[in-house]
Amino acid sequence: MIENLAAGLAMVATVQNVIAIFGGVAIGIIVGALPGMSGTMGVALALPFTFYLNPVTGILLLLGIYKGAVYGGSISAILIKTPGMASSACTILDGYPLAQRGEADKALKMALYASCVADFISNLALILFTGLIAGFALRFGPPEFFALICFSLTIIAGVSGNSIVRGLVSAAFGLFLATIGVDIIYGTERFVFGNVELMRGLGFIPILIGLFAIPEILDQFLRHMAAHQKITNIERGRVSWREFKESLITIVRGSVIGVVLGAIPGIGAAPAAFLSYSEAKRSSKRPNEFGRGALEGVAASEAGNNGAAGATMIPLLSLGVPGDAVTAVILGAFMVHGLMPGPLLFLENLDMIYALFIGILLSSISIFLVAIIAIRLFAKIADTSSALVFPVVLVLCVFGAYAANSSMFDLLVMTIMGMVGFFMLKFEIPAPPFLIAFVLGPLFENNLRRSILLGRGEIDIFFRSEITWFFYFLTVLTLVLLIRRQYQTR
Amino acid sequence: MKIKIKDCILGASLTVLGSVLFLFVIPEGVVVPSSVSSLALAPDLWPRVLALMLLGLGILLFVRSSLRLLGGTAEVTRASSLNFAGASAMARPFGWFVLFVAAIALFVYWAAIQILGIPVASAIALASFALLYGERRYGVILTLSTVVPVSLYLFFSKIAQVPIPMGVFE
Repeated sequence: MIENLAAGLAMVATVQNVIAIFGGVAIGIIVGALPGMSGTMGVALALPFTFYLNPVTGILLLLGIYKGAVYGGSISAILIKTPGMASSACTILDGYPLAQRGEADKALKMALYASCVADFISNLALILFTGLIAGFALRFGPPEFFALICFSLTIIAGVSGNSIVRGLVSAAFGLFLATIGVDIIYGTERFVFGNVELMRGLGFIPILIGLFAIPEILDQFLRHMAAHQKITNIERGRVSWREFKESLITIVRGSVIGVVLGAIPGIGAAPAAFLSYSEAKRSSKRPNEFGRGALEGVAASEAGNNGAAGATMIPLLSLGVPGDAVTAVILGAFMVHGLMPGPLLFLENLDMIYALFIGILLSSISIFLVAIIAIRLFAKIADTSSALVFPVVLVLCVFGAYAANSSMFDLLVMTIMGMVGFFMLKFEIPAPPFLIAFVLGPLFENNLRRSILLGRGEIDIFFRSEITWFFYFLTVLTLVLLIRRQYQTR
Repeated sequence: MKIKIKDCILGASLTVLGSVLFLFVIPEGVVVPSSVSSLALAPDLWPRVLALMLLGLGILLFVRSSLRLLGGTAEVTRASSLNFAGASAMARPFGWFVLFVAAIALFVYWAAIQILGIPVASAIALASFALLYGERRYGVILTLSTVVPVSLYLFFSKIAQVPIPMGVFE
């Protein structure tokens, strides 16, 4: 092992690789902070440039962009309530209220620290436990996915604020809108009404931007804000050691949640972020502060988010199965260079694997160094007049919503969702349950129906393994604890 | 617990919405093939469950808030004051009117994009919204309205390789 590490270190310790990592992270942070641009898009755009680089450099560049984008999404989520990436939507819940009361810099720094720690833990899990975690992920079939999603949907109660009924209303909306498109089992249309654009369903990015950014832009007209008033005051910017220590358990727990969920192909970082947040709120000594600017809330969501990011490489490297869209692009990068991820890669190119591992660990450090500079630049947005920032945000949202699928229809969806989101804001219907339900709804329904097909209508397929029992148990436990807490707070 | 009259409005609206979805939208909007062997696999089952869920939640909200209003245990806020989320105490003069104009402006912006393209429509929208927000530094508005859409156009079209529609300026 020592020889392999030394060989890997020799391979990665070149100026080219260091520039690739730092440069990739810097590009990723910018891409991630722009609403509508995503890590997937950034990695896909950079892919052709890697054809002319050696495999380690090329893949480290793509990984740097991905990891930078995952952190970058939190910057716009905190400053302008517009998540740059879907997985950063949860950071809005406490990041934006912190920014509104003048602690934007503090929120950005806590997001950074949580991201770096979670990313490091995720990378360690990748290096040390790839085989074990990949083996666990392989055992997931439709019934196991269904049970996992059941548990994940209980997150909704955790992010519903004071009214679970309103949270359920929001979730029901999200689940319903997620049914638009083509039925996955029979291929028939659902709520398409002859509109070809609706056959692929509603785009996630326009929904995201419409739900979070547009209502905020409209709501500014109701607030007594002078034209030259700043968005926030960024004077109070330091995260003290005590504050970091208080959030450390939350960060570690969120990282573990992120690693487990990120390693399962098809789940993604958004559910991991929300689940981490929900668990942090449930076990916090001050749960009432969540949703009102709790630093721990920011730490939890970013930990879950970044914990999942590194873990998506686990099924890719060990099995050759991409965990999400980004790793699918990275799989393409491997194949372009004549490499096939999976068990054979460990046998035939072990020094390259170790080089990637060392490079990935270096990326955690580079996120910290690059982001510290980026925070100072982005935080200047908080110093700008709100009357100028929000129109710019609106234009950015339009470009971003269009760029996601090059579709004018997506702009209409964004605008309509903006109106819906505004009414939700005014009727105190929380937006995060909608988002979670919209993301998880298709997984829930599809795995339910696949399981029924697999079991030929027999219900015992839903209880076929200890994994399903485990998640059903967690689901029931979470619901009981939530109901008990509801009665206690009354 | 404070129950505002808007809970009644919300509950009633959801009840109506759930009913409309269940009775009209789903039968019209979901194609159910004749080969469906099991109810559990039918494409319209899940949407129907969700419509019923909305209906049930709407009834729950409406009944709960109505009972509290009738029982006199609720703090009533008149619907006409529209005391949404504590904003009215801080509302700008003519805030709701400006909001209405801004909401219309969003749809006008979308329509303008079809004709003028994203960059030009965005320049006009940026300036319009800045003025609506109360910004009066016309030089700054003009500069931002030019620089921001052009920069974004260049970034997305040249770097991100996303063709941006230019409308009549193609």
